[in-house]
Amino acid sequence: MTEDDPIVKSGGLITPLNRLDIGYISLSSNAANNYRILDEFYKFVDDKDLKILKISSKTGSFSIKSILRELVHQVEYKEEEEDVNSDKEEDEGFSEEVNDESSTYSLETLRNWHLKNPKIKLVIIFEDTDSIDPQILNIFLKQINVINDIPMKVIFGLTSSNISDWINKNIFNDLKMICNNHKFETKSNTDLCLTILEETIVNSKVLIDDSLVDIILSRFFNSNNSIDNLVNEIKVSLMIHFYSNSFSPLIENDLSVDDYEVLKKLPSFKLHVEEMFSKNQRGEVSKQQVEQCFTDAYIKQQFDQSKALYFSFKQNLEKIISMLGIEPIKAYQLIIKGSLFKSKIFKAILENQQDKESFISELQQLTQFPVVFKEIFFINGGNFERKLPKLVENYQNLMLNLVRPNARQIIENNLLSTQYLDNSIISQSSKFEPILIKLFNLLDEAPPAINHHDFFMAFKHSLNKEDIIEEFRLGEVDDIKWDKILLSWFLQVCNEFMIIGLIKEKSRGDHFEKSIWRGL
Amino acid sequence: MNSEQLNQLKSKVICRDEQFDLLNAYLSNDSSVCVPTLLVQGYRSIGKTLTVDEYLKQLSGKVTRINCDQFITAKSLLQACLRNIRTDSGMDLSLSPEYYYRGVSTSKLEQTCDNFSNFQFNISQFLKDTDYQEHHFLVLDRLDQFIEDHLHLFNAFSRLHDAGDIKNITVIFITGMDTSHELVTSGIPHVYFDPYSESDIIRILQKNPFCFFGFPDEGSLGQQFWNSFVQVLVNSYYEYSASNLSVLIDLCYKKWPIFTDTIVKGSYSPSQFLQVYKENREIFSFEELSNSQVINYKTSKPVEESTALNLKDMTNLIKFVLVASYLASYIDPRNDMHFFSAIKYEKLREIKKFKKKDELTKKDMDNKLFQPNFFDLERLYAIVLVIYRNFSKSFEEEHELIDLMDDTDENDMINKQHEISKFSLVGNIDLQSQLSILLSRGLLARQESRDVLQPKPRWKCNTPWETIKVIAQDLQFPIEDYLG
Repeated sequence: MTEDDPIVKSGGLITPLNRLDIGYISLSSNAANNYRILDEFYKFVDDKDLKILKISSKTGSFSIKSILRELVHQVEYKEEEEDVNSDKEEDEGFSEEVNDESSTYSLETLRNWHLKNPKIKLVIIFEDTDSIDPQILNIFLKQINVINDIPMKVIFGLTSSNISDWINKNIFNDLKMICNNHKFETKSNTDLCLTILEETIVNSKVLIDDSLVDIILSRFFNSNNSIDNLVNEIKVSLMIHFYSNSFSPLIENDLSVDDYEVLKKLPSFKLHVEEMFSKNQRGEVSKQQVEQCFTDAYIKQQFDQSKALYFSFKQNLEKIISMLGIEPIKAYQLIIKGSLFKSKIFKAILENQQDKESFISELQQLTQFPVVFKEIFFINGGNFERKLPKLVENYQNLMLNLVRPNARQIIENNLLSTQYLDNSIISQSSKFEPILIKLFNLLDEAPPAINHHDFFMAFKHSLNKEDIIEEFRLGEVDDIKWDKILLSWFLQVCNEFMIIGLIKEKSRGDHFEKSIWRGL
Repeated sequence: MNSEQLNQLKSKVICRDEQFDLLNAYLSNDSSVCVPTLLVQGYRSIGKTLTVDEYLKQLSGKVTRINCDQFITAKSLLQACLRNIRTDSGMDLSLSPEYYYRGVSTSKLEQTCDNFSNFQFNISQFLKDTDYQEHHFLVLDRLDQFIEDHLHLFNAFSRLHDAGDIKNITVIFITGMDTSHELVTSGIPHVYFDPYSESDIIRILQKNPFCFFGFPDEGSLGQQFWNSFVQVLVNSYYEYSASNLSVLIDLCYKKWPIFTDTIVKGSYSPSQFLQVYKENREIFSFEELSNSQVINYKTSKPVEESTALNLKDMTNLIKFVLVASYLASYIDPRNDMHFFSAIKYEKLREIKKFKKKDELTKKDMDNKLFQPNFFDLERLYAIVLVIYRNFSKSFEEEHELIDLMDDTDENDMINKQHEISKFSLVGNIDLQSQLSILLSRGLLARQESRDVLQPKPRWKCNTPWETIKVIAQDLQFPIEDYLG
């Protein structure tokens, strides 16, 4: 409702409230995705006549003063910086001006800015409203309402999905009256994930192995629902396939003479030969029969067959999915696992079909996909092992290890030895191991509770005084000075360990406690 | 001001006769008669500012108005007072071009007024320079909502005249009721605004219509309809709004378009108030008062929302971490073994100490009522690990999808059990990232001391029980069993 509305006129002593337009962007539960959403939003508003002022919990929103200062700064100083980029250092010299309270906190600056740029609207965005104290937001709304006569919108990025509930809980009653609330819907995270996977399967050159789909999906729904992460996972898998798998070009190219030798050795082909004999002929198999399977002609025939099958499957994929009428990813997973016809879901689908026999046979026809030379047509993200009863989360997969490294193990391994320092970047050769590593080695062998003094003495005796003095060119060092140096190193490193979370300092008794829980 | 002017004012701003008389008694354009300070007090939104404004307008003196809640520091407020008094005085400012700061003159306003005496000095200097004699009113509105200590400001301004040479400035404080005793019991003249009665409010609103049909000529029929509308609205909501006019005005703006929709469309004429009311009776409900309306930008319709949390959007792990943090906050660490360990704990449990009959101890109370306790991160990890292993559906998923007639034999099942029992989350980098997300969303809270020598942060669950309950239900996690 605005003043332009024909039914609302100012009458007598009572004038309509000047309402503040507030938008709420519904963000997802993942911080990384939220930045993606905001980025898209910024791209959307980029070319319009808008001046975007961004406030986030990181740009100092711990008090109302810092918010106002940030706003004024973004309005005023950014323009100046553009003008006088070269004189930047000189600008910093004027510390007096920065200290002027009234000009840095006053929202009149925004009004003045508007008078200079009357056509441009101001948009103030709170990127992560959840991290900002609601009390401060309330004061801010009150302040910003003072200059509400200039065209201006406030936008809150909010993870709570029930916005009116959030307003009721966090905004003061009298401020609620001046708010004109609008909600901006964003795409659901889950939908986005499924769409991306679906697109990858249908449109990319290769198909995705069933265990990889399992891994990606389970990771998305169980532990990390960041879209960026999902895209990275797919990218890494593709990279692994096309960079390290030398057969990957065969999907496009014809076979050359060299390829036959390699193709012979593929596990899927060997498996195929094995299965063929165990199915057809019980008992002994003659050497000749086996050799026949490894001739170039046979391999070429098998390969062409697989390739044709692959292309037809790829083409039919959309048709199959529409026939089944269930979630595309689920359907795909069932087909690739080969368990479609055994599954409960399929039974349910079948019950709705009139001509069951033909439906099954048609599907069976359509869902044939290449098993031989599977390595060429499927990306698997570099599986190194897969025994059947593996939890999805425990899969040993190259892609998974790359995106989700075992941080603790890596830290500990690297603290135990200087191996990672042997690289071209750190060229200075030194006889002397870093103190952090020395102390960690001691820590590794120590019992769960370590006395400060014992630890220090052990550390002291593990070092060679002469070597160190020579290494650091310390000159003349007497015993007291030497102890002082060691103690400062010791305290520093212990503090670092505490920050990493390797040890805890016990409040009573002079000892550290190792904070590594067994089995965790 | 003579009685004729006063009556004119009284008929314009009704129901405030007594206050006008008081104002007229205290205030005047003559500096020798006018009081130096005046306190205007009353509940919210009952016409204090309007009454004072209208009176001063009629008095046609020089007025400077300051809304105290617009300033976040006393310094900026004083600067605004100084600047506005100078400009509102209408004097030639070139006579007094300089400000004074610590005995040095400066041309920058920004450098002055870092305390009250400096402000006072600048004002008196201005009066001296320009020989400003006319009486000036300084209205400090919403004093009680000033972000810093308003009492300090009040004490300072009420002694403005004590400096000696400032005679022609009267300070009028306007404040609400939630102020301190010192302010209310101070000796300065006091104008109290009593709350409006229900009939007063109806009269005021009826006298000042502000919503219309938008027809070119509405006339007396429109006024009649408005009168009935106001009557109904005030009767419905007076219990809630009491004498707060702005709440009622806001409600008028909200209800009017819905209420008159049928008339604007032409189904009814403005004379048929009763019919319209019968049709729209349910819009005068209390539901909306406690509910803020949010409009979907795309559809321009009110958003209908149910749950506070979007469960579909959360990962399994985040749900488990939240539940675990709640458990860690509300379970006594001494009972951890009992709840989270596989071994029989009953034997280890200490025998209950002797307790007097009918005496309530902390243990007898529902621990959900208490504040959450702080816990170590490691304890959280341990609890997450245990409950994840025991209750995560992700371990079972495959069986749901495929018939059990499949090729999984008993050996595989045993292997799987073994794997689950050895499963660990901590090697997983995702746990940390999810924790940081929870922290940034404010669902977990962390207390950290600034002392670098004590770098151990403590954590606390910051999620209400209702939310946790919904999450636990979604996970099929029997959280009630843990919180006896």
